[in-house]
Amino acid sequence: MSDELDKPLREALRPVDPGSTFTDTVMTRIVTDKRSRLDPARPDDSRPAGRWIHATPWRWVSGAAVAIVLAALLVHTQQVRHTREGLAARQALMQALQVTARSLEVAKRAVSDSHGPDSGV
Amino acid sequence: MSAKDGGHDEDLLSRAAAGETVAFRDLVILHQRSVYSLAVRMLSDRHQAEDLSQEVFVQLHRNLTAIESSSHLTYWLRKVTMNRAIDRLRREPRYETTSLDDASTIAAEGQETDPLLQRRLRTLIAELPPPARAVVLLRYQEDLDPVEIGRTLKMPVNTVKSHLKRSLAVLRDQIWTREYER
Repeated sequence: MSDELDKPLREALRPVDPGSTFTDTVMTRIVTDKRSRLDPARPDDSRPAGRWIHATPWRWVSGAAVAIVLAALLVHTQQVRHTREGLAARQALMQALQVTARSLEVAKRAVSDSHGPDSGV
Repeated sequence: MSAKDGGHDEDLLSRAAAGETVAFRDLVILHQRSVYSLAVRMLSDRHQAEDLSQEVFVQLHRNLTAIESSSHLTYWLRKVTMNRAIDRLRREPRYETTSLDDASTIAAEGQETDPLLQRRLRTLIAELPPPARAVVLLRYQEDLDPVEIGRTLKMPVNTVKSHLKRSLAVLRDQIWTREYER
């Protein structure tokens, strides 16, 4: 060690006091720190990734309401689509039955004509 | 951070750990001078030093139950202050330099040696690299031996000794150069 610098260094590095408000500021910061740790609903900028967990209850309620409305819209759209598909199928069936009825009529007429008085039987 | 009043410290510590605000406030008052002095000489900025020292005490309050004794408290405060100061200097290197005016205002009371020499020493210490500065502060401000300094800074004892040797050589050289130039 350097003897000639030992004493001047110790004197140059004597501890000094912080400002007069230091202790009070520490105690205030401790209260703030304690409050922010005890109140999970309070937004904490130091934890941006987990901030959503601390969202207020009304945010959870409004989020759930939006989800319910979206689900109801989806169900309604599917019901409308099913109804339209059912009506189209019914219409196609009716057309098919009408065509069949017309064909049967033609066939019946042809049979009765061949067994008529002028047929020579 | 002396351990002279160990019994009083232990009493304050146990009361503070039990949640007594007044006891914690007394602990702050007891140790704030040392914590702040380390911080201000590491950072060479009064506002930054006060902010850092306050953060140290807030962290202490959170970890009070982990502090086993008054000597552990003193060790913990030195370690956390130095680690935080070195981290801050790494993040914000602008605090690594100090003006002569700022260094000169961070003066000590009861000077016996030449005040100009003391001012010059403080300025030169502020210009040392942060790890070397931390070693010199713990040696001459906190009166720790190289083993204790190594334990506080998590640094091998030989590294502590070489930092001390090189820093003293730089200080001596700079002081001599200045004296010779006069």
